Amino acid sequence: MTVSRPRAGRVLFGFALVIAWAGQMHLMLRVGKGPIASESLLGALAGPAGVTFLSVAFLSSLAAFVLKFREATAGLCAFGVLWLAAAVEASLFTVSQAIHHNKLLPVGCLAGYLLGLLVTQNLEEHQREQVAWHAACGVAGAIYAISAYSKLDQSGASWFQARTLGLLIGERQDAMVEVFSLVRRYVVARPALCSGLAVFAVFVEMLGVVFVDPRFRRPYALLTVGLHLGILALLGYFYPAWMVMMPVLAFLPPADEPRPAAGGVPSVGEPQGGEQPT
Amino acid sequence: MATPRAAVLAFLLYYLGSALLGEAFPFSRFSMYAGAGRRTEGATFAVLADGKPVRLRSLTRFSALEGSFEDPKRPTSLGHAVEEARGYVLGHRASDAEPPGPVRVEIGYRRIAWTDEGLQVGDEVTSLRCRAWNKP
Repeated sequence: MTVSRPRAGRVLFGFALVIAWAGQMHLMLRVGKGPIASESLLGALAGPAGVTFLSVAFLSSLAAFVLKFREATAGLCAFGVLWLAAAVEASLFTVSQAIHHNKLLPVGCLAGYLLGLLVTQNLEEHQREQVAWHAACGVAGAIYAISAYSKLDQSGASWFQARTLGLLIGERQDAMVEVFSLVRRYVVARPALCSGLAVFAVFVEMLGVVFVDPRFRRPYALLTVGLHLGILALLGYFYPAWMVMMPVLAFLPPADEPRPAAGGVPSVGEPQGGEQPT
Repeated sequence: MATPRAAVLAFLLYYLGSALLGEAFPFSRFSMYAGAGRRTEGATFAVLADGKPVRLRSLTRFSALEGSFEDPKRPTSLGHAVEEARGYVLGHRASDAEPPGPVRVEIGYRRIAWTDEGLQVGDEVTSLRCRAWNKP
């Protein structure tokens, strides 16, 4: 079993997962042991000792995954710890069991990647990584598309009315960051702008389907970064892991062929420039 | 370049899985505020320390709690913030032997509505009063 020097895309793929993990652990420590967590096993894992234990398990598994040391096993271990942490996090909330969304795009991409690895065991290593990377991109695109579906399914055309986004922003207009308050009050005072932004957001999310095609990944990734900056300014939801993962998937894919190492022996896992959109 | 089959299959798998299963990690419909289109009213969530807005996490060792964290009478998209505040306050209570802190804390809501004239801001409703200490 060898460990190869990871290419930049793999490292940053892991970095996006670390960002998501850090956000989740911060949330768990910030909320503390709520009334539901109490004395249960999940409650024990919600405290500082549990967070430390989970973090060591996750980060060591993730490092092995990034370094391709027993890649699939390490990735599955990292995913298992993420699943456990999500259960702990959900136990902290008494009404909404919704799991903090910041981690879901990187975790979904990891799940897609692992699935791609597991179903391509008869291929060469660099081909397996390519298939896995494409699968991760497919999941990322689906996450945006399902977000649009949810809005249209639950709100229908009323999602595009000014009052929908107006109320959402209005509930957050007293932000602790003054510039955000100013932006939010400016937008709320302009109903046509509220409607236009609601249409734009759903349109961008529906376009998630284009992320399956490598030719459209780069422009779409940039579009999503802009979307998230707007969401941060107007609604206060900051998803840094998404803002890292989308450009990484689009701009740093695995190379088409393994680069020959010194002596002409192919060395899998080293950068070769990546595939270019045509 | 042909569209990679793996990307299409993963897209379909995650999309259909989320649509059918809902919130089943790692699947999700990312609903969050997706149902907000039905609302005409809402509520802000506010924490006041001695009458001034503050971050709840700047306070600690809460005591003498009066009232509850109950949701406002109108729907709000800030339920997660209320839940987080509840967990924080209950997880950072003062010991029974400790005297009440010097800071007067009010946690509550301000009602808002959307009318033909745009956003209207209504009364403030305090749902929980307590005492706390500023974090050092």
